[in-house]
Amino acid sequence: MRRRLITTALAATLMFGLATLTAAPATAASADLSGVWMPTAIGPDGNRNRTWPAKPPLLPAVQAVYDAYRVRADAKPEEYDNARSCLPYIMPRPMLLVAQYPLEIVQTAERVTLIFELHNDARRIYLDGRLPPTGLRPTWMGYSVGRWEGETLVVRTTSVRDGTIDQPHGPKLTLTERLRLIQDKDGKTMLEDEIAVDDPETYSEPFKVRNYFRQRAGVEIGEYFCSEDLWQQNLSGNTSKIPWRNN
Amino acid sequence: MPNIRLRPICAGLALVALWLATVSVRAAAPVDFSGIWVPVAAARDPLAPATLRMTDRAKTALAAFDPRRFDSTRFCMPYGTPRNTLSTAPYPIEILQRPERLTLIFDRLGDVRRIFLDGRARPNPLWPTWFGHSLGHWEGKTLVIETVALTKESILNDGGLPHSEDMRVVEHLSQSTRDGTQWLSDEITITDPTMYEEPIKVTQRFRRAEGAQMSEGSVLCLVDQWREDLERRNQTLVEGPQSGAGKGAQP
Repeated sequence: MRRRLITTALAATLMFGLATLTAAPATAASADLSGVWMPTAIGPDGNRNRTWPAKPPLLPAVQAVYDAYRVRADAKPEEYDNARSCLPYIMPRPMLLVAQYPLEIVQTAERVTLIFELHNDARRIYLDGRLPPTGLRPTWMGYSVGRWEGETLVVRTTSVRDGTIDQPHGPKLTLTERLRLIQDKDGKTMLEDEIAVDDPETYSEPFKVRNYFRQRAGVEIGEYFCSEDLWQQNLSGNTSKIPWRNN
Repeated sequence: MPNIRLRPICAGLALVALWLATVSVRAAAPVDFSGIWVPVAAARDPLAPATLRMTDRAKTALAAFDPRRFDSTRFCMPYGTPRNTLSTAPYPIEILQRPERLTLIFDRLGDVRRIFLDGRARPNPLWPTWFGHSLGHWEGKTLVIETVALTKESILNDGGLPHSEDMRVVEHLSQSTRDGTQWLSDEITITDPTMYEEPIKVTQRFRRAEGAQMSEGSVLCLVDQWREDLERRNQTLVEGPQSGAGKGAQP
């Protein structure tokens, strides 16, 4: 009688165990990156991390054009930096921010979605084995496909539009990211994003940059709207800077 | 007496089985809403002011509604909850489902709704926001969501139906299959006695859009304004360094 009970309990245990196993998606992830993450300029070794090289290997012809562009852009950033007009950051810029705006990762079957508090931008990474569609119009976030290599999420991004201010690139840009959970020197979990930048029309050789994020368990993402200032000015009756309220 | 020793082991195994059962039930939600959904236009407008029993305060606010001034979306500000879910304009919604969270991303203006399913309590204090604070739980195959703390700066529809910050929105989200198509039904009950003498009930329906992809919807509103602004100042669009370099021309 008791033996039978044990057998039943064992069978039940095995069954639920099996159910749990089979419920996992075909492309089972080996790590869960989900959660709220805050970028940090301090790397896992405690030292300041530079997210972009001071002298990236720009091709000589591009360097000349970029230097001239930089002079104009630095003089009037409000006219050259799209983000000053509340437009999204262009890849890889949103992954390289060290400002204190959190990033939320939502990992679901065959998809990893990154939602940036800044601008509410959503970045979608497809893990279902698809290839980027052909004839894509370049976008701010580009088109990202990924796969798991052990506990590292490897993401390849193409079709990124141009116009970026700090990270010059052309239509042939390919970003290959390796996202993984690491431990800092104190044993605390961090998210590392290593980005290989490859753009043969802009750079003489591929190079790698890194950014780090700290886990913020229990933090809920807030609501950030870039045009909030304009809206509040409007509500308060101060319409001088709102073109369509001055007709 | 080996039987006596077996008893605790037996009880222990049963407990493990029970624990595993609980874990797998919690992990496997009864329905997976994940995917892209497109709203289906209703035959009649459930928010037609004539059908609503508005308080005097609501009538006054509605009469004073000027979209150029009070419609947040004209400023690239969000639609807000529940207007984002109530709209029948054919812009898709993406749902990401995890055991502890349902996330809704709206193509228009990139509204993001987060619905917590992990049994957490509401933060205190809770400030009004555009998407409010949403808690959900499963009742059979239906997800019941309650949202509070919604800013009065948002409206319920394009016509400017007002709401107060005491508004409570309860949704019953369920999925069905008919004629080979998957449908999502969102039964929405809006309770806001300051503005409406009785709860407003709306059933919003969505069709699954297999294989569809979301656009960078949040951008479109801003791109137009950016372009307008640049044109107003009689300037050309920003040229990146590569737009000249790639073609061998100076920008």
